[in-house]
Amino acid sequence: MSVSKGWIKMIKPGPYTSIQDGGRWEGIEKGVPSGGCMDMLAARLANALLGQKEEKPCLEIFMGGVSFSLEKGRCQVAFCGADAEIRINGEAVVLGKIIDLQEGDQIEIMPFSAGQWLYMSLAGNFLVPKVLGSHSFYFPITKKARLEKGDLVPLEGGETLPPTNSYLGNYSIPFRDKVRVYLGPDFSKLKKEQQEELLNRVYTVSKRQNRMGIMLEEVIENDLLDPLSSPVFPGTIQLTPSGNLIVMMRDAQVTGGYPRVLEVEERDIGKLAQKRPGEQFAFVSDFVDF
Amino acid sequence: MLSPYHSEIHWPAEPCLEILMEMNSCKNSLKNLLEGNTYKLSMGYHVLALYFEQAGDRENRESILEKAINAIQQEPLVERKRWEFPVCYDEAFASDLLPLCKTKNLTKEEVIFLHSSPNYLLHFYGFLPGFMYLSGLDQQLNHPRKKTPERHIAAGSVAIGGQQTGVYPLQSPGGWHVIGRTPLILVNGERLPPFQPGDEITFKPILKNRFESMKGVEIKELAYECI
Repeated sequence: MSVSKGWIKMIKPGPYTSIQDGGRWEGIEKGVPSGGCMDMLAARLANALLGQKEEKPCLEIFMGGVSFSLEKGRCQVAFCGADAEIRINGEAVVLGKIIDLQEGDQIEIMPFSAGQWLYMSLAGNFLVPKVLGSHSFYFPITKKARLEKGDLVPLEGGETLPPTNSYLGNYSIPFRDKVRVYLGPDFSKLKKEQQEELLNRVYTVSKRQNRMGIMLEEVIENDLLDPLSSPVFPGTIQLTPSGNLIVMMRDAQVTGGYPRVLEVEERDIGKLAQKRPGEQFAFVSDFVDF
Repeated sequence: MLSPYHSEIHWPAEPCLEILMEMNSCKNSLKNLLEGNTYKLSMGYHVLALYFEQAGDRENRESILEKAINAIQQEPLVERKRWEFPVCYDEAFASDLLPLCKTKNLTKEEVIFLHSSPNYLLHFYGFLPGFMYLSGLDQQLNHPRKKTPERHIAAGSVAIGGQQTGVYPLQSPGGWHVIGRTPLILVNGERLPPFQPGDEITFKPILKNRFESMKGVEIKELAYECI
């Protein structure tokens, strides 16, 4: 079978489009953030649809309003994640299905109707440099933080899968409004009433969010003292002296100086990432005895 | 064990060389014990954390940590280095030096002397890639962080915040008081600083023309001695 080399050209990069993969497992000791897909599950599904390794790099698109063309080459791709209308040369295609792209195809992704992060996997490889064990964009470890208008993304389309009717549809996660958490190292320093309030109230995602973290609207009054700076990971929830909760996301710094009160189950980090400002959820902490 | 992915070892919250050496020894044992696993190992002043790619069971993970803790005394001391780190305290690079002098009622020379005399101990990296958490700042130079952080602090800026001093490896926002700049490039793609937790950093004052001539010098060519 032949390999087709080519490239994508960004026409409209949208608010934040980058290449992300399963994340960086090297460099953390020197302060380099993990990086990786905000909704790891969606990216894994997109890769699985094409028979690719699940942690392979995908094109990660935030909020849509993006267009690009396959200027050269041909390849197969699949989309998973946020709900979006996608058009190839003006014709609508569905998420969760293998799509053949030919040289010159124009791909248009409308502003998302639900969710925030969409992934395009590739049967083959995005030819972007692997730095510290990962292809995930993170400036200045990689040359760019995100793709800009006119940028070319080189790729090689791999073996073509036979035509299929298999269709994943848009995945939906059971208990979408429940986010599983473990108790963090500083949880026990909260008073009983504060612990109960923290675990049992309904939370709202705020506008203050990016690839580094998400701040929640609700305030948990507390009198915790700031601990010494300690390790934090994607999913760590810090509680500030003013009562704000900050959920660390993929590009978060590797240490934090606020009390670490909760920790989001790895598989639920993406669920939280897909929530838009104003959307609500609750924590579940008694789901497993580990 | 905090979750099926995440385990931690805690020391008393009083950072010092002895604790850091124990943490280093523990870290090395863990790396040997965990060969072949995918995990992240991260340190703070008194916390050593492991985050695994795969969920694991409690007994297995706890026995690995116990082994590492029990091995602490038997480990040989890790070789430590003391690095001479060039800093230019010229006002062109030190927007907050004169205001600091005024508040502290010290001359510029006194501030430079106090800042470049100690051997600072590197505890860990955090905040930004290549940002070192150093202890050893002279108490006379302690200075609360700015209420409103600056939007842009230049890469290489040497600054004081609270009881800490550090070097901004990249241009970034920041609330510390900038008193100088290093010509060294700390982070460049895959190249991260060679300094290890337990090493010491000594700031060596250099003049502006030396700063210009040292620009772009690789850190690996820096002078160090073993301690």
